[in-house]
Order: sequence, then C-alpha cells, then structure tokens
Amino acid sequence: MKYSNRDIENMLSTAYKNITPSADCAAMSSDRPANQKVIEMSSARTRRQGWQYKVASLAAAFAIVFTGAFGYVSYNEHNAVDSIVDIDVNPSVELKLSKTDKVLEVSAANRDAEKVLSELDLADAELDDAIDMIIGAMVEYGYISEDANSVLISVSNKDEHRNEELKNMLSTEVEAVLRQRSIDPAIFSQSLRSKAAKPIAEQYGISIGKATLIQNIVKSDKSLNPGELSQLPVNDIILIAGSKAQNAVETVSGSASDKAYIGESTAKSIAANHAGSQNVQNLKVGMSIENGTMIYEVSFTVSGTPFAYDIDARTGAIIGFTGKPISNNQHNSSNNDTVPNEPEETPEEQGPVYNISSDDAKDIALSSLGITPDKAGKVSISSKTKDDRGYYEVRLTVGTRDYTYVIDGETGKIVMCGWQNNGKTPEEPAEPEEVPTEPPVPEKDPADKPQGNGTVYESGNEKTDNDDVA
Amino acid sequence: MLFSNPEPENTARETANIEQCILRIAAGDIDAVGILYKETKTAVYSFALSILRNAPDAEDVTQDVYIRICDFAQSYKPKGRPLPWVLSITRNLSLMKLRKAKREDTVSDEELERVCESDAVTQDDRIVLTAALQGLADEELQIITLHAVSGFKHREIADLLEMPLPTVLSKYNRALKKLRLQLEGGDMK
Repeated sequence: MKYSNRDIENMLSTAYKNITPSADCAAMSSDRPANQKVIEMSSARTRRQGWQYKVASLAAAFAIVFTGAFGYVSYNEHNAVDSIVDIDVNPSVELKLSKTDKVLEVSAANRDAEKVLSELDLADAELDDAIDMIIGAMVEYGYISEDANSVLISVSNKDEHRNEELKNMLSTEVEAVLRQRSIDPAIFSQSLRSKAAKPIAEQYGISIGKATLIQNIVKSDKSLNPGELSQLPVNDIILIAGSKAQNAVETVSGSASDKAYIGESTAKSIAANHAGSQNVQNLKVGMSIENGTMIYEVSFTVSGTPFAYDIDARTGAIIGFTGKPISNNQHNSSNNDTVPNEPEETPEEQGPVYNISSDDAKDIALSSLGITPDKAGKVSISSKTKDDRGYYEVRLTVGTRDYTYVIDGETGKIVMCGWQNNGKTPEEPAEPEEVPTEPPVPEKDPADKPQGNGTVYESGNEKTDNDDVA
Repeated sequence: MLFSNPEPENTARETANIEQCILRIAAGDIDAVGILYKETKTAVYSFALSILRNAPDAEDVTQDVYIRICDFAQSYKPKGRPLPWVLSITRNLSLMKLRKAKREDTVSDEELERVCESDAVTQDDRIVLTAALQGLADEELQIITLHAVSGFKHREIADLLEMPLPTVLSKYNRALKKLRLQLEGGDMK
C-alpha cells in the first residue's frame, strides 16, 4: 500500500490523539489551592467509556457520512486542475492547484528552477507549505536577497474572484517567509487572462507569467528587446519598467531593490562631471539593458547642448556617450539640477579625474554600511591623489567603530575600507539599534595587514557573491 | 477541510478559542484551564513526547505547562498566535526535564508499550508511533509532530525550534521518507 504525505501525517496525528491522556475536568476549579496540580491526568488511560472516545467516534461518523454523500465532488475538487500559479524570481516555478488548493503538480520553467526544485519533495503538499519550501530554497541559493528582493506571482483561474484570493494568499505567504529571513520583499502580482504571451514564453524558454510582464513592458517601449529582458531576473525587469514610469504589473508591497547598483544619483553625478558641467537642465535618468549589462541612461542639456550617457549600473563605468564634454568645470550653484560640489577642479588633460563628488563618496560609504546619514557620527572627507588617480578618503564614526573608506573618484568604487574600535561606550538606544551591515568588499589581499580591530581589504576584481546567480 | 480527517488543531476558530481561554485565565478564570486543555492537550502532549520520548515525563511536563500558563497568562500578548506561545512553554519545560534525566536517543520496546497502553490505540497507531518514536531523529520527530498535529507551517516550526527554515524543510522531508519507508515495508536507515 502506498502512503501519501497527507496519509502519514493523518495517521501520526490520530495516533497522538489516541495516546494523549484525558483529564479529570472536575478537578479543575478556582477553589483549589494554587500549588495543586491544575490537571489531574487519568492514571489508567482506558478511554472506551471516556468522553474523548465518544467525541472522537461522533466526529468520525460525521466525516464518513459526508465523505460518502459527496465522494464524487470530493474527488474532482481534490484532483482536477483548477488554477495555475507562476512564481518568478529568476527561477521560474509553475504550480498546478486543485480547487482545494492542493498542489497537484510542480514544474520548473528554467534551469535555475530545476536546481531549486531538485531538493524539495512537494508531492501532496499544502499550498502554503509548498510556497514556504520554494521561496525558502530560493533564498538559500541566493536568488532572493536584499539586493534582489522581487517576486512575481501570476495566477490563472477562470474566476477573477478566485484569482484575487490566490494572489492575496500567496503574497501574504511569500512576504512572511522573506521577512523571517530579514529581507524586505517586493511582491508583484498579475492575473493571466489570455495566452497572448505564450509565443514569447516558448521562444525564450520562460514562464507565461514572466513573458506577460515582458510583453507589457515592450508594448510601451519598443526600444527594449524581449530576448534581453527574458535573461534578467524579475528584480531587474521591474527596475527597468519602473524607471520608464511603467506600471507593467501590480505592486503588492515593497519596491524592487537597486542595492546591487550604484544608484541614479551617482549615475547622474558621473555623467554630469564627465560632461564638465554642474549646470544641467532637462535631466532624465533611467535603467535599461545593453548587451546583457544593466545600465543607467542619463540625458541632459548644458546651455542647450544635449548630452546622453550609458553608464554601467554596477561599476559606474561610462560605456558610451554623445555630446562634447566641456573642458573647464563650472561651479555655478544657482541653476536647477546642480550636482554637489566637486573637489578643486583640474582641466581634463591635467591631474586626476573626479566623476563623483565628495557628497557622493559619503553616500557610497553610508550605503555600504546600510545606514542613513543621521546614524553616522562625525564624518570627514578629503581628496587624495595617487599615481595620477583621484580618491576620496571618507572617515566616519558609527557607534563604537571608526570607519575609513577610500573611494575611487572616477568610478565611485570602494577600493579600501577598514574600521577600528574607538573605545567609546555606546549610548543607550531608545529602541533597538540597527547593526550596520559589513561593507561588501572584494577579495582580501593576503599582503594586507589588519588595521586596529577591523579588517582591511585591497581592491580586487569586481566579482561579487551574486555574480553566479542569474 | 471537511473531507480530511483528522484535522490539525490549529483552525482559525480553535485559535480564537485558545486565545480567549488564555485571556480568561489571565483575568483569573481558572475554569478556562479545562477548556484550554481540551483544545490543546494533543498538541502539548505530542510535542512533549517528541522531545522526551518517555510517557510519564511527557505527562508531567504537560501538567506543568498548564500550571505555567496559569502563572504567566498575563504576559501573553494577544496576536492571534496562542498555540506557538503554549508550545514554546512546552518546549522549555521539556528541555529542562531532558537536562535532568539521562535519556536514550530512541525509545525502547518497553517504553513504547507504555506510550501505547491506552485501549483506544489501534494497530495502525502502534505501527506509526513505533516508526516515529524508534525511527526518527530528535529534530525530525519534533518537526513532523508539530506539522502533523498542530498544523504549524514550516516557518512557524523554524521560529519555535530556533532553526533555519531550510533545515526544517530538509529534516521534515527526511522524516516523511523514513516513515513512508517503514510503513510501506523495508529497512529504515
């Protein structure tokens, strides 16, 4: 005889019920002294005449009557596919559900999903347990993190009311799992009403849910290539859609994380500094994809002259630009869209190039620690030059630690960071204090010696932990 | 669901009942203890047994749980999750008892007989309890007991047992595989 997971659990639950001692309820009263046992367990656990057995038999008889009368309906409700759900992160998982939310079938729409599902036994699982397991595994493998926190839930059922029910239930479950892992989730949902996206799904080997999202985005911006978008995680697709002011999908909660990238503000600064002017007008910035690389597209005018930049969203490198950079920087703070003050300017052909401002350097350091400016104590920034390259040294105090960051003035990359204890007694916080996250730094150079109590890292290659995760 | 029998104890209505009982106990209504016991006894006893693997000890802990609830009901904050609070007390008391007593990792045949001595226990019950109490590792037994009897979700189990969610998931799967192997015949590894 074969046993399903449900059968096994039901057997175990019944067995436990039958061995649980009954209680002498008459012994429980408010007249009893406090030191007496509240519950008198029956010493002989014979319960043929006990109330518990009678209640259990009544419940069993009740269930049998209903099962018999509604056997056919019960079979259909439990075994026919009623809804299809796609969970897209970058792994894309499809679940087929019965009317009673039993998971009938789970399939992987791509290789990453195969990897996630290979470790899970979802046969006969309840839907919320299946979601727990799938989302939990995606976090474990690094597909969902603080840097890439987006989950797309797509549901397909003929009944729109049922669609809404499922979207709400699944969103709640996904959010709970991620919050337990200290991840602020961004959850998006959509109802799949037609199979119009099926050709895109089949062409690029993605789920209908993801294909529908891409189809909606490309409809509004034909410059975007569905093939390139199909290779991206949902988080990046949502960032691109959002920067183009598209509501391609319903936002249930949160916002797609851009922590893996340099940020619009830094991208703006890099472009404006390269153009040689702080006085920019008609500034526009958004995210896109170029040859598989996430980029910021920055455009503006300077005294009527148009400029356009494509900036690598991870490294801040300028991939391409149009417009002739102005040779002398102009410091004029009276116009709109001015960028923060630069260090002492140098002509392009002399000395180091600074594409980011000192304020940008401070923001990069704070962002790396995951804290807001008000959480930092004293902050000092100075510019330095080494081998004709410009750097900012940012020193800041957070709690009992003094941090030092060295940031490349051209690219905004963190090339070195370290900390040491400052021996101060931390102030008693009014509410639990946030612990700054350690900066994500490149590989440690074995030649470096630690400074103070912290660890110093030299700049290495650009590889990060998330690079292997699609 | 109506057509599945038996149901876990943790339906929404039962959850509300349990919480009401705790609040009544906090207000001094000791009679509510009896109702609370009826609603939660299997969850508490089964969880205690899954930790202690000894029927008399599990009975002792079960009694102590309700005494503890009487003492600390006022500290319960109503958030619609009373059963995790009750089982957290169960876990703490069980672990204290475990530290005092030296226990074997598995249940002897004699102990199993004591566990199953009630006349209400059927042959199927005996088979599955033998498979669980003699065949599963500690955490596997606790996890599957919480899931099957109390209807906890995996992340709730992870919270209660202070384990990472993936660990709970993999131990749960392993527990099911072992039980299935034993129930369908074959050696349990």
